[in-house]
Amino acid sequence: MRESIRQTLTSAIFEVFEKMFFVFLEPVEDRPFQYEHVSYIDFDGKSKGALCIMMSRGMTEMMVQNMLGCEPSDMTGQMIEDCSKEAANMVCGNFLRKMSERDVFNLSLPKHAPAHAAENLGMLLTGTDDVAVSFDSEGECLQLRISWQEKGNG
Amino acid sequence: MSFNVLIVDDSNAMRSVIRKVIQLSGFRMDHCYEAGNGKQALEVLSGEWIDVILSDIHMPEMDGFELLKAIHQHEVFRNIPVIVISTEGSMDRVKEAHALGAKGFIRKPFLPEELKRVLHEVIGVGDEGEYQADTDECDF
Repeated sequence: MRESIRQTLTSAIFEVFEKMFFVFLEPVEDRPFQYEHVSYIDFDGKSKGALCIMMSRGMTEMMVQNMLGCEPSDMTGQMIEDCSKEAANMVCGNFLRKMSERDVFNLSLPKHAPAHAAENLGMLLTGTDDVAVSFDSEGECLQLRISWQEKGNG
Repeated sequence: MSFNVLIVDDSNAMRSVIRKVIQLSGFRMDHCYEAGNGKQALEVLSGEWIDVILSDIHMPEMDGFELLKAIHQHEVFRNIPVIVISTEGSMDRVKEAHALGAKGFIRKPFLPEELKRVLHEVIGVGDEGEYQADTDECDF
């Protein structure tokens, strides 16, 4: 099941980042990196869980510039927040659809926080059963983490 | 003939992307109005003539399904075509949206060409030549 989640998550993030952010990601080994932004969303349906994306500053800047077509000098904190939240929303929706198109899931509104605040807000998924996948693009990193709990299985 | 478009999404970034795709698609847009949720959309509808609505589902305060219900129950607004643009794309959600009167459903993430195609189909003016796309591909 973990491998299926990992593969589906990878497929979902490739699709979202290529179509909406024009960012082409390369899977890399999980490793510590300096992330500055975190977005988070939870879901509930046949299964329940949460997804968080930890992104380096350069990764969020690349996403904003590509999605909104703006110059770095025009970039605002609000744009970074909007794009980060939209990324969590689209990756989660896409992932759940790929896992099971017949099932309806309720998604929470996505949240965004700078790295220093994310832990206190419970946005970092650190459970040992969580699945993590890491990616690189032009030397900038992001990591996705997902918790997944089948209902009725405890 | 030009069309007034209302984009309903709680994300400024997504509203901006949708607006830009419509502009680049060659669709004859007169005014583009924006709303951050269903409640704000109804306020816009009360004061402006709108030809087509593009709405997200997942929004605070009043979501896209509640907006669809309100539009469907309104004597005048019910004639305005609504296209849903959402990450929530399970088959049941799509059926629910259509049952509430949505004329089109686009799943995020979408390609510019897909938005253009659905908008074209829903407005239904392309065949008469009133809507001429500038290009087949849209670039940001």
